[in-house]
Amino acid sequence: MPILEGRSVSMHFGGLTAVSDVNFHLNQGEILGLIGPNGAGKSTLFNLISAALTPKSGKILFKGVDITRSKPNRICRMGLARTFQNVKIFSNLSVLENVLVGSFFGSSAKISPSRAKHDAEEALAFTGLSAATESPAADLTLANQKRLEVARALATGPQVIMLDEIMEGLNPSEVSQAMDLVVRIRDKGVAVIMIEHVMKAIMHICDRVMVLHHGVKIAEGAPVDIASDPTVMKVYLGDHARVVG
Amino acid sequence: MAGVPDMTRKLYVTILLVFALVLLAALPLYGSAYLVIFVSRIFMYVILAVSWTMFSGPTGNISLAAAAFFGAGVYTTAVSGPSLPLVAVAVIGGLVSFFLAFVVGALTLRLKGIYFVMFTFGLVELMLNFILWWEVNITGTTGRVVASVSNATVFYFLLSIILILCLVDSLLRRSPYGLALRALGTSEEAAAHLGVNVTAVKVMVFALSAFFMGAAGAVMAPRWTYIDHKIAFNPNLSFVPVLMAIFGGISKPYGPIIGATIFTCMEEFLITRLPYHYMLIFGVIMVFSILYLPGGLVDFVQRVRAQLLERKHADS
Repeated sequence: MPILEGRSVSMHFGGLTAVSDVNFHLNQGEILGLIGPNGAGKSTLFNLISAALTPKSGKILFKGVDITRSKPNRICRMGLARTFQNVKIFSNLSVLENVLVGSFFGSSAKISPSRAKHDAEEALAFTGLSAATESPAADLTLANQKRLEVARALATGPQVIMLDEIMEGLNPSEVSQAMDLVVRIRDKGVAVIMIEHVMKAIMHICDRVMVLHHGVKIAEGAPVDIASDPTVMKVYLGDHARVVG
Repeated sequence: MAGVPDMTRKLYVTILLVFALVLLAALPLYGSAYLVIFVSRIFMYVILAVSWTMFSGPTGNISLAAAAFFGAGVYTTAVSGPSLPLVAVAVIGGLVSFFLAFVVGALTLRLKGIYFVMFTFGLVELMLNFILWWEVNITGTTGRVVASVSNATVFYFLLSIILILCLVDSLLRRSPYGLALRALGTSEEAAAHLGVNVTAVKVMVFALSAFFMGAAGAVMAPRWTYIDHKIAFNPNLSFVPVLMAIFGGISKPYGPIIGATIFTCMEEFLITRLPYHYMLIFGVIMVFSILYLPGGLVDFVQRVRAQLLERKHADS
């Protein structure tokens, strides 16, 4: 049974259809890439899964439980964490405090302050932010702010993590570090769905890729197959695109 | 300052604070009646400013409902009359405000920015007019006589409320809920997705801060001997504590206390010495402090000290 599943999920804003009848699933121990041109409905789908938005129709199941009309904080406590494309770190708090919010409130079990601190420090070490623990979060570079988003989500003890363009705006070496981080998250036993425009990352680390276009799922499969899929090429490159080399 | 070890400095501050507190607590024994009443007034504003900051400081949701919660406390005393001891009245007044804030908060804390500000201020008007309507149509009275209580009693009750308030405030600041409150002040969305029940945390702290406002109102009521809807729900009590807190600085827990104290002293001095120019001078001071002290007095003092230290380092 997949850990996360969507059944004909649809969402529209007024007359604009953002996500249309999309079926998806995520298996345990998997990295699923979600790609598509701008405005394809990728972030909307993330918002639907994390309950920031409620779908107009369709069903979303997490660990077999219907979470379609749940609340963001409940979903997080169930073990489904997310990051934001436009980083939403708590700039008035220190790096450690940012992560502590996740470790204090992110799990359903009551947690002691020492345990919360331990979990937070572990998440910071895992994401390579240990050196910045005490600095104000506002002082971090963009790459580190994106890492902080991931650390915060990990501190909630998730079974599934949704990463929304964590490599956007990073330089090549930062991208490889981020790729390594995503793989290590998967190896820890956390299933990953990631929205990404950095194709190198999608091709190298994803086990499976799903393509959205105008809110419709147009392709799904292994990265190599997606790369040579004619529909996907048409969407990305236009009508006259051919595979070269 | 840097030369003194941290522990020793903390010890000095504690000793100084305890000494000041003892001196303050003994005021009714050696001070004039005027001084006791005046300091009680400062206490009242300190309670309102600190409890306002408790919620509005970290969340950035500016509440103008202080007068409504204070007034609810005042009316609790007026209605329950001399039949109950003041301790009970203070607690009941606090609870009445707590539940009022709980209901109002649950309904309105989804409102953002200016809408929340307007609604909370509307609440003051709503309470004022509701009481007026009630008195005219149901009880057929206007206003109530409140059994008076000695100045010293009011003084000690207010001081006790301040001590409990400071204790609760510091416990909250250190607790995970204080952390969550500061976090959701920056991004409610991110806090919610990290497992924080944003509405519950906001409503609880909003209601908690209203408890102290209500208790203060209940204790202050006997000072007026006669109250009506206009005295109890004085809109000034919504604005002044906010100005005091911002003037003192909301970044540090003692900022609103300093702000309320200086503000009240300034007001008293200007009213008694310069009654004709009082509003004018007051206005000018306010404009200057908003323009040049955006972080409040506390922040200003810190900046000046940092600059002096830097200069000292540059010299040596």
